[in-house]
This record gives sequence, structure tokens and C-alpha cells, in this order.
Amino acid sequence: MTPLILTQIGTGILVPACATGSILLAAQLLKPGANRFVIPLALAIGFLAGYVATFGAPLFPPRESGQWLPWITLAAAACALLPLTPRWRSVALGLLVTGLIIHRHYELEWLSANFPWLKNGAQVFFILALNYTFAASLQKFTDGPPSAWTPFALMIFLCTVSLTIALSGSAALGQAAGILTATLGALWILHLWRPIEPASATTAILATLVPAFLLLAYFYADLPATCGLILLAAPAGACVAAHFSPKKLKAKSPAFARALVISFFGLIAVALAWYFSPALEY
Amino acid sequence: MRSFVTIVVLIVSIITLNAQTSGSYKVDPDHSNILTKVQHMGAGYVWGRFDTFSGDVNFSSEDPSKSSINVQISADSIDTHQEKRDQHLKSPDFFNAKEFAVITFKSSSVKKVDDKTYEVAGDITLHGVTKPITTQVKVTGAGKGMKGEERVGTETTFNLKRSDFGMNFMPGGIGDDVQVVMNLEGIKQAPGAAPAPAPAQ
Repeated sequence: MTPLILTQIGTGILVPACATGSILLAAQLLKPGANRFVIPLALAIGFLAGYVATFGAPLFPPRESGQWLPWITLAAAACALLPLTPRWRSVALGLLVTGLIIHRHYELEWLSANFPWLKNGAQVFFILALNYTFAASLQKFTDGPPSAWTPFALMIFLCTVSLTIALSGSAALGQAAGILTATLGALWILHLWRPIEPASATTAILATLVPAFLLLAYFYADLPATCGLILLAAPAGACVAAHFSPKKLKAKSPAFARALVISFFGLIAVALAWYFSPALEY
Repeated sequence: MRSFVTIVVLIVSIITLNAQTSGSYKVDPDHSNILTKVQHMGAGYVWGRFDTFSGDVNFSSEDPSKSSINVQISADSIDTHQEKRDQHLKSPDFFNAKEFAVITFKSSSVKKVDDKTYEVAGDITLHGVTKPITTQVKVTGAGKGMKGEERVGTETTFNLKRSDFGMNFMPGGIGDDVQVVMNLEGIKQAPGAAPAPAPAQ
């Protein structure tokens, strides 16, 4: 394995996993009841540690849209600690993410005489609606009975997000999503040792960063819209699956059924991204 | 006597050439090339070119310091004859062509080095970062086109570090030093002609 690949594994997987794992482990040993605040902090710090290790210290103000990711993460972590309802948190963070990520896309057009206000306004509204729906469905997905399948499913889902984005032309954005996957991997592994609940505490970070990754990949890389929509619909699809009887799905539990469905959505997105992508090697 | 005549003819040619080459020129992209070369995995070099660009050269042989060069290059037009690599180069990992659509060079000073060489200093804006560079531009020749238009050719080669412009992806895998070769042929414009438009985004 080349030094280049080893470095990428180190900075992109080990650093965030160790950072998140250390915080969660310390919290479990010292103050087990504080998970609702510790989980989003651990995910955010793990992501930031991996981001800095991989891409260097974040710039402020950012020079390009992708450089807003660490600042968005900080905002999400702050919102997770505030006494906000999930609904208002989703609205606030959705506006922040959409505004920061895509304003450059419209920047040059705002001043033109024939700026298509209706078309672009409808597009922005659609994106905000998608963000909110994703956040709400992810909240519902993670609100189920405690189960090790939930963090596992989230990790697999983030893995498919990372792969889809990498196949859509931007390895760096895929790598950033992979950093978040590594933090969820640490959460899942520790959950196997001692359950870390509630899983819904992950929502603030995931419901902010996943749409951010997908918006960046759609507007600035070549993510097919279909893949993005499938990934954003995945938690909702999994929640719908939970209404089916486990016997019909031959599943061990509703959590297992949700994990299967969300992973299936993710794999479809990966397959489509592979299909639409030019030849892989160069 | 023959040597004296040769020298006189040579001097007159140079004076005539300089008088002819003074003026405003629009870059002819069909007869110009902008090439890049970067090392891959510490082994071989990969060449690429930009297919869409435009520019203006205002040249004064009497006072080269009054000359100027402006070039605009479409970042989306990078072509390394491999579709997947081109897609990757245009992505946020490298040029981020959707956010930073145009690469520009704008001269700030021109100094004569010798009859065919000029030292051009200016700012290059790439990936949202502006850096000063200085390069030697050589006039490769002058002539008339098929429609009688006056043409002048130039060539310059300079090196950039992509990390200076925030393009840091895959250090070690892709070399930091990028060599740029610009062969520009300009068509002399009538006085008062409009400057070249930026390339379509």
C-alpha cells in the first residue's frame, strides 16, 4: 500500500474515529447521562479533526464553497446544544447550509437584467424543502427503539454517500463524507460495548452535513440529481419500511428493517453514480 | 561593401518589423495554444491544454513599457485527452471550474530584453487566488494571413506551484510544479477595435 493511501487512511479514517471515540469513551466512563450533548459534540469534533488532518486548517472567510464545511459543522454542534426543537433546528440549519453552499452558484447572475427569479426561487425553495424533509425523516429514523442497528445503518448510509460523491467527480468531497463515516464507525463500535443513546442526538450533525455534501457535489461536481434525491429520500423510505410487519420482511426487528432499506437506497445511488460516471481509472 | 549593404538591410528589416508589429492584437485561439505539464506520481509528465481562451495584446515597439497583455482562459476547457481525468480536474478537487470559471492573466509591466524578447510582469488569477508572476515572452515571428491580416506570434514558458493557488489535492501524487507554455498568435486590429470578450462560461 503506497504511502499516499496510508496517509489518506490515517487522516481520513483513524484521526476522526479516534477523536470521536475518545470523547464518547470518556463521556461513557465519566458522565453516561450526558449523551444528548456529548454525541453531537463528539461527531463534530471528530469531523473537524479529520478535516484539519486531511485538508489543513480551515480558512475564514472561505474562498470556495466546500471550505464552509467546518464552519457549518460548528454551527450544527452549537444548535445541538441549544434548547431548540428539532423542527426549528432543521429550518435554521437548512437555511444556513443552502445559503452558504449555493450562493456562489447564483452570485454572478444576481445582477443580470434577466435573472430568472421564478425558476431560481423555485429551485431554492425545493432545496430547502428537501433539506427539511431529510432532517425530519432522519429524526424519525433515529427516534426508534434503542438498537445497535441504528448507528450501524447510519454508518453504512454515510459510506454510500461518500462513495456516490467520489464517483461523481470529486474525491475530496467524497473524502470529507468519509471522515464523517469514520466518526459514525467509532460511535457504532462503542455502542456494541455499551449502548450509546439516543441515536437521535446524531441528527443535528448528520442532517446538516449530508445535505451540505450533496449540494456541493451537485452544484460544483457532477453528482447526478437522481443520486442526490435517492440519498435524501433514504431515511424517509426506511421509516415507511418500519410500518411493515417484520415477519413480512423476514427481518429480525424494525431497526434491522430500517437499516436494510436505508442501505438499499444508498447502494442504488452508488450503482447509478457508477453507471453515469466516466471510466474509473486514469 | 556587401557587408555594409547586408547590415543596412538588416537594420531596415528590424525597424520595419518593429513598426509593423506595433499595435493592438486580438489573440487568435485557432492558431494559439496554452499547454500545461505536471508530474504524475513522481514518474512521467501529463500534458494538458486549454481549448477555450481569448486575449488582447497592445504592443508598442517604440515604448514597450506602454504595452499590455490580457488573457482569459476558460477553466472548464481543460483537456488532457482522458474524460475521467478532465472531469476530475474540473471538480472542486482541482480547478473547481464551476466556481472559478475563468483564469486570467493581466500584465502590469513590459520591459524590453532584446529585439525579440520582453520581460512581462503581471497578475495571474487562478482558483480565486491572484499571484504576481514575471515571465519572458519571445516574439516568434510576424507575417500576413490568408486575408492579408497582420499576425504576430509569441511564446512564453513559466512555472507555477498549484499549492500557491489553493489547489492542494493529492500532494505527492500530482506534482506541485506546473509548467505552462503559451503560444499566442495575434491578429492586428484596426484602431478603436473592441477588446476580446471573456470566454463563454
